[in-house]
Amino acid sequence: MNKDRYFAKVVHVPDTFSVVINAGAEQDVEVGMQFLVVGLGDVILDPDTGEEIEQLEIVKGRAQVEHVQAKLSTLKSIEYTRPADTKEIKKVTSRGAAGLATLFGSQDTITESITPSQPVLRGLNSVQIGDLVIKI
Amino acid sequence: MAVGAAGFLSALVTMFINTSQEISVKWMLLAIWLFSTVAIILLKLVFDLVNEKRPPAPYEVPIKYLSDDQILLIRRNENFGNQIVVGCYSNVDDIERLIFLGAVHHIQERFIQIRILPTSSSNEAPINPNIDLKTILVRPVVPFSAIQAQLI
Repeated sequence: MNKDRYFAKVVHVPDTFSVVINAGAEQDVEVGMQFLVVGLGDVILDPDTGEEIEQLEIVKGRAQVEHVQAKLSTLKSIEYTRPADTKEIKKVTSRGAAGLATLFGSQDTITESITPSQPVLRGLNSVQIGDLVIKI
Repeated sequence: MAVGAAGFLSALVTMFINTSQEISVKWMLLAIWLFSTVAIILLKLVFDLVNEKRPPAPYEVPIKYLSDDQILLIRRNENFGNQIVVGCYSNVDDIERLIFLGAVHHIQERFIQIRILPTSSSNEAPINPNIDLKTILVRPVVPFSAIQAQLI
């Protein structure tokens, strides 16, 4: 493991939005610091030479320090997804006086409204104990 | 051949220089010092030219395709900054055709992960898992029309 690149390790996963890492105030972690949470995958080989290039980092998400203890820190996801906007189409049929309705027929009014969606906090993608964090 | 060359050089030297003449050690030391100084300067110039930083390549050929995550791996290249949109071109008979767009997803120490962007018209993978990756070029430039089409 490259200690220069990987700042700390995930030691606890309270929920899909948060992780606890094994670095805290003693390692100069401060509230607001941001980290990239990654898991290590297969070793990638050079297709031409067969030489090992590097181990694949699987990005689980970005997280920010919310709480710092002496040797531990709690990070929370800072990535949001935005669901599709809601489009509402209303059709109102208005009927006038009996004589006019017979003469001109019923009048339809169609109104369209688009309700913008609210961003939703995205959880860290299948994060688990032993995953690593990179300071960003 | 070496003996012939040595004889030729010896003949040339003896035509102009009297080899039986004695010279002062002072002049010989000066000559050695001048020669070594010029040689060191020339060697330094050659070394600097060999180590001169070459600009990164304007494109990269993928080394692996991760079909589950829709990610292409390319070698690390300073032209590919984090989160930039890139164009993936098929190169058949030196004719390049834009096949899909991607975005720099993650930069590692030795390679870069390019996430393939879904096309607006289809949710299917725009790349065949069995495709020969050597026919694909990833460039950090994208035609404006392709971005417009992606946004529609």
